[in-house]
Amino acid sequence: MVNVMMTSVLFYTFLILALIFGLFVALFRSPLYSLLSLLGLISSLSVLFYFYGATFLSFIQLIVYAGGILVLFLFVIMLLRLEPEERGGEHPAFKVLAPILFFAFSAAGVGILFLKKIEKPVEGYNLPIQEFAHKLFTNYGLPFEAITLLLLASAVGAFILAKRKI
Amino acid sequence: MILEGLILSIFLFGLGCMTFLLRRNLILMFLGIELIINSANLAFVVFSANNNNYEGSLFVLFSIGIAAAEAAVGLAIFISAYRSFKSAYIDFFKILRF
Repeated sequence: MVNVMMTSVLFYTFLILALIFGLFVALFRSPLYSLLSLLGLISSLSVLFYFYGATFLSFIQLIVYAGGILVLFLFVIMLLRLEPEERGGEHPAFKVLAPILFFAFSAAGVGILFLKKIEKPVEGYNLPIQEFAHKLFTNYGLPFEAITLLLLASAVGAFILAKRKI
Repeated sequence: MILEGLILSIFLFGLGCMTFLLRRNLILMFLGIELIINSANLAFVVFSANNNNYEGSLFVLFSIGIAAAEAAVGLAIFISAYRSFKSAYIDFFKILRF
């Protein structure tokens, strides 16, 4: 009983943390602060993945996303010494349109969720890593190889694009 | 637990779209895209837990790979554009060659 309550408290804590960090990503004007908030968001999401039973993905999220992709962003920000964006430079139409779109989209999504009545609870779902790996290398072998090729191509492409003179 | 996760995913998607529309700094726009990708990942995991089917989680793995490729190429384009325009703002990027 205590364990269930503890899990629930932790789950909601990280849910709210993720929401707050998401707001920070959208609201900060300095690229560095925004990036660090995204780091917090990704760490909270990894904890949420753990609660949803996807243990493997929660570690992958931390290692690849936080340790790989975000550090790449951090390197670029540090390399170019970017200043915070000054206020009031937004396109006036977007300034009105974007919040309206956000609230309309959120209201519509939440409304649809409540209309659909999704209420099947999670009952000890656990990502079976052995079957997961088996499926990855048999049924999804072709997409997997395609992703590896894509990563190789993007690494070479990034190298060529970022060079001064080819 | 299902409903809360999906609501969080919706909010994160909306916030990512708002960041992408409102900001003019290219890095901040990239961060908005990352937010959108993460919200999609969360929805995948939640639905995969709800249906007791791990194929949704498999797609998250692919999605993270694509996000990595996108970040590498996008940041390379950004560095090369920053070098020729000396600015991070997309207002200056009016021509796509240099």
